[in-house]
Amino acid sequence: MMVAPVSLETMFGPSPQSRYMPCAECGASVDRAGAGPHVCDTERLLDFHLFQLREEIATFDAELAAWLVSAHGRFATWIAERDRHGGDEGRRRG
Amino acid sequence: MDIKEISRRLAEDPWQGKLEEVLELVGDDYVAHVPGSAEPFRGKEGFRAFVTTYQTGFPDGRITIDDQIAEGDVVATRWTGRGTHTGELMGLPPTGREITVAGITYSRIADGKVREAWVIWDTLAMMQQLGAVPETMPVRTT
Repeated sequence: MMVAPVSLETMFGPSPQSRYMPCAECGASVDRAGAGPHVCDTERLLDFHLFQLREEIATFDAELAAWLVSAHGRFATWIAERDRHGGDEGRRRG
Repeated sequence: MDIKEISRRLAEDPWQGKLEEVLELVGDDYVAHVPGSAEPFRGKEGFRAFVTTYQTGFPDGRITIDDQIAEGDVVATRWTGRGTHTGELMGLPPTGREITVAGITYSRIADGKVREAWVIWDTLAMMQQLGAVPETMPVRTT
């Protein structure tokens, strides 16, 4: 048995298509009847990609918070703090 | 306030943080007929439930009025809705997509309150923009 894509128009006759569709890259609503090509706004593009990654970001934040209170995380924090102060001391001496 | 103004406020104000204020313009006997809804929305709570469903799906949503025609106690308001789908909408998980949808609300208004409304908008376009309706779909062939 083969499966082939068939458009809605083929199945049901002419079906209306939305005049507006979201840009696949930035999610902005784009008027397909509008003049000129759509150009993604940089901030909108970043927001859209961050939104798509929101679950991964939330998971990372939770895992980082848990690691920071673990023995390894606390020791790493202590080392980082010591190095930072050491760096400040080194800069003052230099 | 004339019936065009009442209809305009009913459409725009809930999306400007004024849902509670605008409920003063909704009659206790209000009945809203909405395509896709098995039962009409009734009374102030029905109005609130209808608006809240879409405000949950599109927290930054806004409505702009394109045109209005009034005759007697009836007003037709043509509007455009825009918003970003960042909340769950009727089981659809958020997509982050921005949509634009056109619609018409046909309202009967008496004694300063809306009594009945037919809210008709391009739900197919909304579903296409949200990706809930595919532009092509697989079918079985022999």
